[in-house]
Order: sequence, then C-alpha cells, then structure tokens
Amino acid sequence: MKPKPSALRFFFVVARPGTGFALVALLIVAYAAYLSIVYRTGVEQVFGIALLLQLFAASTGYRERLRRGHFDPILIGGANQWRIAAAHWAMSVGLGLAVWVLLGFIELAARTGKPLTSATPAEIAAFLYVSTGAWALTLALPRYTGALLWLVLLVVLQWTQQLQAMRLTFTPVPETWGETVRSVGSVLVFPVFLVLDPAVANLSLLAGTFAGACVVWAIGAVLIGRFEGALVEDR
Amino acid sequence: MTAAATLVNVSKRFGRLTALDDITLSFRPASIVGIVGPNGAGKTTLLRILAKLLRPSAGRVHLGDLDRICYFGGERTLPPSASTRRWLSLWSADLARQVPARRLGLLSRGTRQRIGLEATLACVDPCLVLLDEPWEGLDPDASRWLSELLLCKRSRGSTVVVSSHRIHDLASTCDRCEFIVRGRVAADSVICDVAMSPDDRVAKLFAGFDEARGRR
Repeated sequence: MKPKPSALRFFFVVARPGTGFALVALLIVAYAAYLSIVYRTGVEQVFGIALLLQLFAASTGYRERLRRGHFDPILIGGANQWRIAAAHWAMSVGLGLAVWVLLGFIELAARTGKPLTSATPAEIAAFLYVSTGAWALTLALPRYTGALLWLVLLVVLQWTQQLQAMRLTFTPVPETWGETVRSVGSVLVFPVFLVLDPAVANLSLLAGTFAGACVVWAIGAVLIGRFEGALVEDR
Repeated sequence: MTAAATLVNVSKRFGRLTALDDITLSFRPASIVGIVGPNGAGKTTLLRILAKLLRPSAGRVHLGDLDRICYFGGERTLPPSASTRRWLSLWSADLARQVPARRLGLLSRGTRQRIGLEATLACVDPCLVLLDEPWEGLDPDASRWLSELLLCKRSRGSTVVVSSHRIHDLASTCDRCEFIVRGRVAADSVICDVAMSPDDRVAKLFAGFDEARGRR
C-alpha cells in the first residue's frame, strides 16, 4: 500500500477534463497547425479560441464532487487547503495550458518573425486570469457553470452597452492611478481587452491583472478550506 | 490504555438539522466497533467526523497514536468517470494489475464496493479503519472475505469502526456495538462476547437495537 497519493496525481485521476474536451483541444491545435502550414500566419487568431476553451476547461467545479465523496481519499485525516487548492487548480488549467504551449510551438515553427503571441506578457496575463477566474467562479457550482455565468455577464454588459463604455475607458498604457484602476477593472471583467493589442500593455496594467489572478486564486483556496465534505444525502 | 479515537460531547448541525447531538464515544485500540442505527440516525456523519472530513459544530475529537486513517464511504463515493486501474494504482500497483481497465461507473454496484474496500483495506496496519455500510452490495463470498479481513486487521492492531444495518455481519465481527438514534447514543453498548454462540450474539444485538428504538 502506497502512502496517500499526491494531490495533483489524485485530481488527475478523479477530476480531469473529459474526452470531449481533449478532442476539442486537439482540433484547435490541428487548426493552428493547418493555418501555419498553409498560410504561415494567422496562428495568433487561434489564441482567442484557446482562451474560450480554457474558460470552460478550467470550470471543473469542486463542491459538488466533494459532496458526492469523490475527494474523500485525499481529504481524510485533514488536508492542507492551499496544497489541495494548488493541485486542483493545476489539474483544472492543465489542458488549456498544454494547448497554449503547443500553439506557441506551432507559432515558433511557422517562423513569422513576429514576437510569439503565446509568450507576450499580456497574453500570459489574460490566460492566467481567465484560467483562475473560471476555476474560482465554479468551485461552489456544477462543472462549466462559472464559464457560462461569465459569458452571460458579458452578454448582459454588451446588451446594456456597458462593455462599449468599458472599452472607451480602457487604455493599454494607463498613466494615472485612476486610469490604471479603470483599465485593470475592465480587464478583470473582459480579459480580451488585454489581448486586442498585447504588445503595448504596460507594466502597471499587467501587474494589476496578475495581482487580480492571485487574489482570485487565494479566494478560491479559502473557499476550498471552508467547504465541508458532508455527503449530499446527509443533509 | 490510550483510546484509538475518542469523541467528547460532539454535535453536528447542518443548518437547522441536528445530525449528531452531544455524542461521547471511545474506541479501544485493536477492536472492532459497530455503529448501528436506523436511516438518518447520524452514523455517516459520525464516521466522517472521525475521518476529519467534517468539522464538529461542538465538542472535540481526539485521535490516539494511530496517525493513519482509512475511510470508505461506500461505492457511491467512487468517481464514476475514473478508470478502475488508474483509481487502484493510486493505492496499490499490485491491485491495479489484477482488474480490467474499465470506468468505475460501468461496473456493478457490488464490484465497485469490493474495489473500494480493497483499496481502503490495503492500508498498512495498525491504522484507524472507518467503513460506512461496507457489506452493502456484496455477495456472500465477498461478505465473508470482508468479515475475515476485518478480523485480520484487528489482530494486527488496527481499530475498526463500521456502521451497518446488517446485524448478522456485525455479530460475527464486532467486539462491541453502539446504537445511535436521531443523533444520540440511544442505549448502552452491547458487548459481543466471543464465548456466545453466533445465534445468541445476533439475538443480543437485535434486542439492543429494539431497546435503542424504544420498543422494549
């Protein structure tokens, strides 16, 4: 009998994304490869699709499966909530991260001479924030619900023309604190702002987005520590 | 002798529902204790508090020298999308090699229960073994295998706490049974004396259960 398995390995066996997601991920990579071979350009368009995939792939959910007892073996005897949160987060973002890295390699192989989209700080910040936001938003909800809620929020903002208003106040190179706060706020609601022109996003905007991702992750870890493993039928 | 696990005035509430109400129990090392009670009595909650999967609303839980806890909440707690082999390989490579690679959700209830028990009971002794309705879904051969394995765990120094409705199985394995009704310890514990015949042990447990339910 082995000692308790590592939390990451456990979550990989128990809660990894399904075959459907792996197929979609494969299609995205194949599409990027097709673009790079036929047109030698256009791979950067695929990163938007990869971001959408990640929005759903990272929405794995936690509490619902906790209450079904699926995570019992790793939580028995008490477990460190930060370690559990880190492992669950890593498992949740793993598939999207793999796609992101593969797209980077395809872009590299295409040798367009332009900076790698996957490696620009703005793209990385957007990817990190979308991954963490979708993961944290879904922790207390069923799988994919966080991604759906985020999309619904964006549709409502678009409907009420708030998104256009945010676009107008967003500036990739904020110069004052007020501009920085407004721009970071806009990115945290709609991270795509950051990737519209990733080369020009300045340090304060990037730092704000990274900090936002860290805060959201910490909130997620605290939530994981507060959830209780009462089986559904016990209540 | 230091107890393997002790609950002191433990209560657990879920909103307005009181699942456990001021429970005090102690479990001796190298013993098998049965937790008996009707559905909804709080048996599962009690085991999950011992496994530290739930925090008590009040009271304290002391675990003795046994730092290893093995808990199995029944086949319904196995992740249906996980592969049998991958799941078992988390605990024992030998066990994983002995089963076909199929999704747990596609197996019969009894097979899932057996796989879950095998993974749980592969733990190194001595340990605190907590099993929730372990005989459910098992065929007679598997039931006998489980009962013998529990006795073997006890002989190696492990403490086993098992909740069940199956009085016959409890009578053949347990040293002592506690009766829980509506979240409270409802009657004196019944000591299952090895000198008694199996039929007498069963009769004694049924009598204890009836007393706990207020039928005597």
